[in-house]
Amino acid sequence: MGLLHERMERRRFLRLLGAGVGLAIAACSPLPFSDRFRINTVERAVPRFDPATWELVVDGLVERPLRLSYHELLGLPSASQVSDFRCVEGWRVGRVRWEGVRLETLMRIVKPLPEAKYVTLHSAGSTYGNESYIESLALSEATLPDSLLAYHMQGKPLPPKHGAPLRMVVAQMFGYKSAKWVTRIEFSAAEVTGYWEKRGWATDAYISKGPRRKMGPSQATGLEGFDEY
Amino acid sequence: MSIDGHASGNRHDKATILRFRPAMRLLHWAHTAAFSLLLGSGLTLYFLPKAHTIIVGPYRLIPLLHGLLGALSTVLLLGVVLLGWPRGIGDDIKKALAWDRKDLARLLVLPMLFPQLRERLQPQGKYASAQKVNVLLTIAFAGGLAVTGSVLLAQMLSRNALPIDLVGHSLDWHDLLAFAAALVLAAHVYFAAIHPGTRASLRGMITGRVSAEWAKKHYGRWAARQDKQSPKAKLPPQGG
Repeated sequence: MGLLHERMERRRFLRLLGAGVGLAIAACSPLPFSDRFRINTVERAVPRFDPATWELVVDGLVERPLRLSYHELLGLPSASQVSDFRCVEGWRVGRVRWEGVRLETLMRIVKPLPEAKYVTLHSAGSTYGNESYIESLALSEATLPDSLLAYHMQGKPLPPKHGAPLRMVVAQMFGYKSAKWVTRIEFSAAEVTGYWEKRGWATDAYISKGPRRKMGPSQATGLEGFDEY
Repeated sequence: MSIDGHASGNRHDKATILRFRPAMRLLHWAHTAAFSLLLGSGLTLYFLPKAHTIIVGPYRLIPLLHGLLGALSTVLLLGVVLLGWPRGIGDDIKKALAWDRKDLARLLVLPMLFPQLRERLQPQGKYASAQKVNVLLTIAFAGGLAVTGSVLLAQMLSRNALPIDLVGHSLDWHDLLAFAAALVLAAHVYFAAIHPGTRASLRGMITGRVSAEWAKKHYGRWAARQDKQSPKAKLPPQGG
């Protein structure tokens, strides 16, 4: 009888435990600590940024190649957006406020040639294999309403570990498409294979698995709003 | 089961009683080794961004090693549980998962803090209430970490074949469970190796045996049952 009593107690306890765990899992989205930026870059060190000497080069298949100093970049018409940031490894940060320059603003200055269909973003710094981090986007992706060349984050200049002074933000795609420490934007006719794409990760890095090319701001992942100045 | 002892010293002080059979000790120490390695590599990944910079083929090296070690550990530990179930692991786990009202009372009145109440709740069986909680949490954490870790490993190896919300929730839970497990481990190590009233139990997990006197004092009901089940058990001869 004692053993039977013990077994009944155990069963009841396990049932209660199972129900508790089930409830906890059901109520888990998202956990309070999960909204945390992780710095999972492949560069050996954070590239140094000197506002006095830093330059952004915009070249390739364009009529007027361009070199911009940091202060000239800040002087261009700016745009801001609040959007979620999501990594293919699973973590996400909601409602990040970005401010910067739309690629279209630069395109109006450099005038891409008709055959230019892609942009390649070149990052400063290098990996342990002495490889530069590059990322390629179709023009249609780089000019999505929630794609931005950002120099401010959460109302402050971009912190070094987040890509200071300039990074790409492609809110509809996983984070590896949002290159940090951008120093050169090159227009090209063909797609250049990016760092992770060379290693087998998808060129098509849309977070949403639905239709893409027609996706507008109202359908963008976590997109809260835009401002143009 | 038997009671035996050494040939010298005080007769009662040196008598020992078998507490954990080899299979249970193997499971305990294999789990300890696996969890320590995984906790170390996991904390490194969580707190040191540099740990993500080494790339091998399409993968980040340390996350890959962490994931593969987790998968290997899960398979090995399950193997030890299955093979050791009839060799003592089954009995021990059943006992650790059997709760009665006294167990709950012991948890509620915190006998550690109120020694006078401890006497009224004695004797207890093979596992104290806090040890039962530890076993339950260990099983829950190990299972949760294995399931969520499998999702994360599958996402890495498949290069994004899984639904991203599933991966995201798995990552959140994996982190939460790991930190909770580390806290429980810290408490477990404290009671097993440092706290004067309980640290003698560590010997049981290392050698398999504990002092019969100590067992009688801390686990009276279990020690008495061992005595009954071992009619031939004898205390050692006095003197050397």
